[in-house]
Amino acid sequence: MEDKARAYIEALGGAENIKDIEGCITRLRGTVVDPSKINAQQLTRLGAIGRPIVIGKGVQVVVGTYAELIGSAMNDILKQR
Amino acid sequence: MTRIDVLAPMSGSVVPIEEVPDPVFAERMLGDGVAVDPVEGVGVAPVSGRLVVFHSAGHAFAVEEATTGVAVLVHVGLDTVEMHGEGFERLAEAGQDVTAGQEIVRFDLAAIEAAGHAARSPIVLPQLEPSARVTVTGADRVQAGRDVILSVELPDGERAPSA
Repeated sequence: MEDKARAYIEALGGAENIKDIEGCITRLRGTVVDPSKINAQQLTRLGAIGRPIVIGKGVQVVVGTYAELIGSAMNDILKQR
Repeated sequence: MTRIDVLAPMSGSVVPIEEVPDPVFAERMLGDGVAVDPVEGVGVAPVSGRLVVFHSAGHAFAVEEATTGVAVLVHVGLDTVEMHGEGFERLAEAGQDVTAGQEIVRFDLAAIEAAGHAARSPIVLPQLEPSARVTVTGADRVQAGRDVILSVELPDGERAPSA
């Protein structure tokens, strides 16, 4: 899960680009600094469903039923920085 | 053919999944399903099996059916993760084995409305194999833990892929 979380952080443009992120039941929801740094292809390779939904600086990525676990693992990594 | 009957996880009116105002559910990005406009703030297990996921905010859970591994995801209201558990009372924990009809969560419908969220609750079948057939009830209203809201037919000898 930690590797996956790191890969998702990278696909969202890196830790510097993520303002906040939270795992709902099926999707990651968060805010980024620069939406253009989101790598949609990389997200798909990681198992994300469809394209990321980007509204302004807000982003939602559908990842399946384990989104909360991925989200909290991402926050653990982001907090360590 | 193996058939699983999925019980209504909450009491209320049956709504087609396309009428859920959230594209992730309405466009079946996760899988096929149905929705309920709940009239009572009780969510029960739709099948017997393991409660594999129960979000810390209490607003959504998934039960993996014991014999087939088919997962049923129940999401109480829309964007209710933003309530961070306020108005939700968890009555079970992830990892626990549950029985169809068993109460999993109690929720405050007035609090969901006050928070500005729709109470419309999608029930979806993520990770379902393409050969499975899903039939939604023709009834307008269902009672939690008593009425079948949808059934899944799986070709014999196949299991849903585990998550």
